[in-house]
Amino acid sequence: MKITKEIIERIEGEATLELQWHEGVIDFAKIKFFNFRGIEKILEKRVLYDAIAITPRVCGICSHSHALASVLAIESCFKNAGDVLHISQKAQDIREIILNAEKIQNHIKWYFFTIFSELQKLSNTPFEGNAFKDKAWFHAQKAIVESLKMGAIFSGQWPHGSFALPGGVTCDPVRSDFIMAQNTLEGIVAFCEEYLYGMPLEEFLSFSSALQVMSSVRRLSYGIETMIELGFDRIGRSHDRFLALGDSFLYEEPSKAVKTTVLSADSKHVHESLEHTFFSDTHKGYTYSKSAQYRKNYFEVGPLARMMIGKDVLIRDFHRRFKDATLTRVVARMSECAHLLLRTRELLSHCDITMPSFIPPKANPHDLCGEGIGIIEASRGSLIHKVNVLYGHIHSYDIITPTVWNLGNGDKENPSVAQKAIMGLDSIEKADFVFKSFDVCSVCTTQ
Amino acid sequence: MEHAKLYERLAERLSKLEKFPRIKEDKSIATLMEEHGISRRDFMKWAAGVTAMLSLPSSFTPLMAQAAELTDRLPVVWLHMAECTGCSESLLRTDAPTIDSVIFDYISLEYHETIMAAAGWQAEHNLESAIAKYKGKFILMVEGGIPAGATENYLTVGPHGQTGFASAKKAADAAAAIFAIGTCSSFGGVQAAYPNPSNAQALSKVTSKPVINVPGCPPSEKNIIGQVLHYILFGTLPALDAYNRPKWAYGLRIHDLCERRGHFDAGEFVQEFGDAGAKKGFCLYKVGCKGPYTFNNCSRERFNQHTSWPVQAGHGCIGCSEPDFWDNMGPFEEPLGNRLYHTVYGEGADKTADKVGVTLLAATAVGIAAHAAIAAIKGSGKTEE
Ligand code: SF4
Repeated sequence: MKITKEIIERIEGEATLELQWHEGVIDFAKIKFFNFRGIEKILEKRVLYDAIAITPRVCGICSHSHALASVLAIESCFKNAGDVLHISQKAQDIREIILNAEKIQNHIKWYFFTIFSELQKLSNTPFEGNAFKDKAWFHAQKAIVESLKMGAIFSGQWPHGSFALPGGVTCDPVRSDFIMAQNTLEGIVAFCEEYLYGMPLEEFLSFSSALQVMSSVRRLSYGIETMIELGFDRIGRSHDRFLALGDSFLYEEPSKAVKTTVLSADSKHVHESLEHTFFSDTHKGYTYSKSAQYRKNYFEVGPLARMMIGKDVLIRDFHRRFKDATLTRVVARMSECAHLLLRTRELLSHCDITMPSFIPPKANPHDLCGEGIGIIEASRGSLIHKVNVLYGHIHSYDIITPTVWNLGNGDKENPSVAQKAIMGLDSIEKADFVFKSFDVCSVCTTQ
Repeated sequence: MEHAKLYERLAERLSKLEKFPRIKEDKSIATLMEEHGISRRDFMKWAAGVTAMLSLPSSFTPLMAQAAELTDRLPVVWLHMAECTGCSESLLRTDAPTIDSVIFDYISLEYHETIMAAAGWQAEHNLESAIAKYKGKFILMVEGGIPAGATENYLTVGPHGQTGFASAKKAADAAAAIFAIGTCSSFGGVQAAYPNPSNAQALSKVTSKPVINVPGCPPSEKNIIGQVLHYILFGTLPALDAYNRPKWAYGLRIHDLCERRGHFDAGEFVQEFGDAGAKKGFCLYKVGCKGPYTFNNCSRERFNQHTSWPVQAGHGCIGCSEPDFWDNMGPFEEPLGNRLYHTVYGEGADKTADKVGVTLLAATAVGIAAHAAIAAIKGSGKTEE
């Protein structure tokens, strides 16, 4: 059996794919991440609230998702100890605006810097010259910068803002802050309408058929066409099982979906495994990344999962035609971006600034004992923080990042989500692109 | 007079640099700027901003502009070690995305890939070719802490599984100037916090050459770009503080130029998050602000296009550009002088204040705590509801 090793570039950090070939086809893939910092270990014995500052450093790309997940985890500790915190609607809105800003910039960055340029490389029908050198790149960068700015109006900075604490948010924005944020957002919307969707957001979001999306010749439809040309509408399929454990405006409640059947889900069925890691076996292990399962099954998390669980008509149409192929995954993320933009516009215009930003907990955090769990739907999917606290100090802290769900390692009989998507492909280039369609980030996979 | 001499010296250095070949023969920074529609006026405005930031007189603006155009003579190699990639993401906060990215794209060879944090083969490949082609001439920028000793293999990069330690060392040996970007690379950072599971070390522990530290978690994008231009302009190490931080950026404390400073002096403090003082923008010292112990220019430069910074958003400074701040400055929502209980490093209030004192500030720490206490008695009682 032939074995090849592929380093995956132009992702956040570095990953290696070890591919096992059988008669020209990938028989199995091992996904390896070679960096480990031990953040969970560092959190032990520290003062509980320090988690809110430390966990964002797990990942510079979704740092505010981590900050929020740790705040939710601590709030749930308070709740379990009998102090149910009231988080004002305003504070909830501001948290969501900040989170959305982080996701919007991530989605734009991923499409323009990774997906689009990869497609350019793979295809022989280039789009208006070089993806990296053409002006759109600079416009995309500007939209990213603006999106981060919009969040920073409330979070103080990005990445690694300290803006949320159990009880609310620390900022007290005034009307003009919201106006500045709205103006900034409209700039990003204009970019997306012009360069990505090629039509007004509302029109794009009213679509129910894949064919409608193709009607405008912009980067998204170019991407779709190219993916179809290259066969990504048929490959990159995984288990067709989806999971979203955090809250989102896209659906009613945390759920799982098997194909198109949606059922409610509960984080108590989440199981984390150290199999195949250096931690479980220094000799046989081959990665620093853990894996996560739901009732012993691998589930895909991320935008596609959220859209499937939210029964989004457009993505369901893509799914009906192409199943959970790479194409569907890519379109789901870019379609979520449109939803996020619209949702943020709504939040910015409706937020009631007369409400309090912060209502302090009644219980003293230094006396807190017990457990808490916080789940955030981050750019790449469900991010789970679990904390066990003893008299205000962290006894243990467990972080399950979205990439651990998608990019963990199972075995040939029960492969992980990304492994399943890669198995059966006949070229390294295809495997590379399919892998990237999960929006890979190595720093948070291993922490 | 002194300025005139300095001006002359820098102009001379730039004209020497001008004779160097460009990194890419076919294009200059100046033509690229033009191609991207950056007007001369915007460019000069930008140059004036950088000049002021480096504490140079405004008459130096033309020199700064020239230095920016000469960045195309000096390649940058950016290495990623054990990190969260937040430092390179920090570059996305820039005021002038087009100008900065034109420059970075050009000089760092594969900047567009770097912003996506491509380590690995690409980095190794870049490194090999940069070393071969520009030995002794390139600027090395390193992001992330570096696992060393028995745990060196907690970080390996590239197809040959070279350890981060080995690749950083190799690059440092061949570099003309070495910048540690971010607190991780400057001082070890979050992964070096107790108990430092990977034995992460600062870049300065990997090489015997001088390392300029540009700390911050993440560091200010302005400090990163400013340091590049400073090096091009001067060709020498900038004036450094005890922790090898350039004084032009880290010469003052956050507290010195903080917008809430008036409230500090008046004894008006936020006593608890969400109180009336918080709404009025009072000083955050009592809810843990470490601005008085932290040297950086955030209060002046802010982030994300001058939009805001943590203190403006109502949370105190956490001291992220100081060595070992993860272990010395916490809990982040309580003042240092007020530590309530023993922590992971087993120390009470006084000892910690001492430890901060070692970092230049013993007197300040005590003084600040005393001021806060006295001022609180004198003044702020009235203003609280
Ligand atoms: S203690 Fe902090 S908030 Fe108060 S004036 Fe100093 S830096 Fe500003």
